[in-house]
Amino acid sequence: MTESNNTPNMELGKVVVETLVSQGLIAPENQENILSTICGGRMTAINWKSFIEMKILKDEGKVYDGKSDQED
Amino acid sequence: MANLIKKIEMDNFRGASRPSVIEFDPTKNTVVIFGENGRGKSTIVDAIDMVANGMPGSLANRSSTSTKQHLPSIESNHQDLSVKLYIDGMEWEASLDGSTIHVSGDSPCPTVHILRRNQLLRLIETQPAQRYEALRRFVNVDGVEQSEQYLRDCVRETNDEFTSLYRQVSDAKIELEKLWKDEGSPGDSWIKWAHEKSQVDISETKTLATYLTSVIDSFNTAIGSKDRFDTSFSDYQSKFANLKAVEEEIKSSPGLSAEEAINLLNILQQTQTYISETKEPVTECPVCEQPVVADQLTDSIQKRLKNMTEVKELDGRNKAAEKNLQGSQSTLSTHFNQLLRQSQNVIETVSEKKSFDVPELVIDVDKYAGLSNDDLDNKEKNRLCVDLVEKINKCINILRTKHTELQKDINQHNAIKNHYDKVIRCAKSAAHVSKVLAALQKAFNVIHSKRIDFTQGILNEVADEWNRLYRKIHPNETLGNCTLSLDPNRRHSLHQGAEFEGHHGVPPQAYFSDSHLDTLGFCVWLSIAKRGTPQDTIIVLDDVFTSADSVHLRNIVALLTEEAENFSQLVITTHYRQWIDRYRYMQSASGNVHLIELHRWSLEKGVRACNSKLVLEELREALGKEPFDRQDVASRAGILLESILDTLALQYLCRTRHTRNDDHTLIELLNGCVKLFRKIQIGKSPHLVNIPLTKGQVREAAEEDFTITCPLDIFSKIQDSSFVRNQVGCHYNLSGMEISDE
Repeated sequence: MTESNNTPNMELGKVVVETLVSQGLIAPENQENILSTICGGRMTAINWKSFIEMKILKDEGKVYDGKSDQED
Repeated sequence: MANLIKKIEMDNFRGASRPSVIEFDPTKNTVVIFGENGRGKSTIVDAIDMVANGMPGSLANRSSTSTKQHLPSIESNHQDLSVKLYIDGMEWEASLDGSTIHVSGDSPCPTVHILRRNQLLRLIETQPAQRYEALRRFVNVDGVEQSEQYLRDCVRETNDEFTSLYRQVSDAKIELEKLWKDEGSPGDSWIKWAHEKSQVDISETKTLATYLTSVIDSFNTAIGSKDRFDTSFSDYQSKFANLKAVEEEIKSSPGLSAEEAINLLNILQQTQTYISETKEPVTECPVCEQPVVADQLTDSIQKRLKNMTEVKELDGRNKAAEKNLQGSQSTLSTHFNQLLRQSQNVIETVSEKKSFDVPELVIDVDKYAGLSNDDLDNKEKNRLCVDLVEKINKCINILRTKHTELQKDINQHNAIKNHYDKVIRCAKSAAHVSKVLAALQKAFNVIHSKRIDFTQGILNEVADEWNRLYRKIHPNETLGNCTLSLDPNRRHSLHQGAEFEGHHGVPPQAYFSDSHLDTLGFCVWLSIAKRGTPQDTIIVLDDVFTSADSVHLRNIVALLTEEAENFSQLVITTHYRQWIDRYRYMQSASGNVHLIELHRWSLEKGVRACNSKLVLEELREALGKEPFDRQDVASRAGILLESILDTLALQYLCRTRHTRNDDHTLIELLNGCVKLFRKIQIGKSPHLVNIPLTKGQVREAAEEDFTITCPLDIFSKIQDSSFVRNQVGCHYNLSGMEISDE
């Protein structure tokens, strides 16, 4: 069941995700995906690292390949 | 659309040991269920909780209880339990499968918030963590909180990863520096030296080391074969000498020559075997055909064989020596072949030395070409093998030393290259992980601070509201202004503060009475419950107030009457008779309230309810009853009149006698209210039907909405006929008998 938009959980989730985007920590195009994942309590350690690394590599002009060890 | 519970059906549920139906008036959004203790109030609330929230109700917080065993009525089991809830034409049903609650219905059930007495106590009296739990449902951010926990784990794991990489770089640097110093600290720095060393091509050294390994291995194998051959040869010589000694002993035996004696021994043994194994008795010699007596011949042979024991033993040793020599010869042959093969292998391996510069390898392979020559006899080949092994023994230690040096060079190169590569690779990874770690830490700070701020924001947002509600119940009292603050350093922890006699931030538990704490907790809970969409929310209060005095109870009832308009429906259960009587005697606005009274409970009858009527309705019914019961009417009218006058006297501060024992009389109340009835005007407005009559609201209402009546005229009539209450309604006297029913 989809969570209602006006639950405290969803309200807080929106605030968090907007702040993360505004601080350049996650890519705006992932915003929706991240919001539902965070509010659903499914944002695991691996997910966090993936989204954060994705943004860092994007800023460096590189492509995220799903590996945490970024060797040339 | 308003969500109103219209009907609850219970069967084999808690106190509802028999099928029970409780119906709520759909035209009224407040339901007050009165029942003395043990009549089923909590059963009704638990039924609502089970269907609406899928929860086991009050059992959830009680020790030594289980859903499976104690949610069904005492003589039923979980399969028999059924609870149905009807809300606005829709129906939901809850059942129990073991300990699991199943709720079926077409759509999600409307939101129902339930406040119980124990929850109220948790909110006020318990530790900060339990206080949070009592409000958790309203500030529930579990999903975000779980993600925050994962992020915390992620930060820790990434920090561990960074620390590990950093340690690997440090360890590799230490190792390189040590190797550099062992080499005498050549060049400008260890890192430059390590870089240059790691770039050196040592493939030739590795190939030479591999070659020497194979040469040394073949040497070792040949030496082993030579040792085994030597051992076999010694054994052969020993066995040969033994046989010759036995043969010499046979030749030197006295009497018959040993050879002849041995032949005779064999003939005698064979004859004895012939006689014993022939089926028919032997009567003549099978060789010369002379007649013989078998038994005599057998005895004679046995005697002769007995006398030839020494010959027999000598024959056995001779045969054993021959056999041993044959075995030794075979082993010697095998070991010679192995030695030859290993020697050929050595020559073959050494022949590759042309590709390498190994001056220490002094074996002339051409000299040993005969080893592979089929025409050369074994004796010559054996000589070559022995010579070769002597050569091997002379140079093998030199080759071992050279091999060890080469291997040391290779190991050092490998170590330098591995450590240097690790420094470069881990330093690069550490730089990347450091960036990720910083971003993750920043993200964690965002989610953590936002969650704290958000939850605290909700608490701050409703703080004004709960203080407003609190002041409604406790007007003009020097306590209140309560605050709740989330502990930023602890998970799910709420601290409480209040104002008391000019002191701010004091713990209310230390200074407030039980009654004040009750109402404080209630106001906090209600103000938070109003967040979101209260118009779609049903509020249920399960016998929450137990310590309110009559003045505060009046304020609570008035407050709930006002607040009920904010919610879809308000359901109140109480064991306070005073509460329901306030409505019945219309001391509180009762137009929008459905009153239900619970009968005495028994296992045979279960939970039973009936609608409770207003005293005015009961009086009307008594007036219309035939035959007319004058005593009943006079009594009811008198009580109603007392109730009205008592309320007016308190509301408008009339001068009348009020005692602690409430033993004032009707006449005293009438006399005390004379002045009031001379001043006031009483009107009725459609807008004021459900609003308590207070001075402020009368003033605010528009004048044209009122139908003004002159209360003094009515009051005079009441005053004149008040004696009827005593004379007809309460006492036996002759005067009362003369009063007409009209």
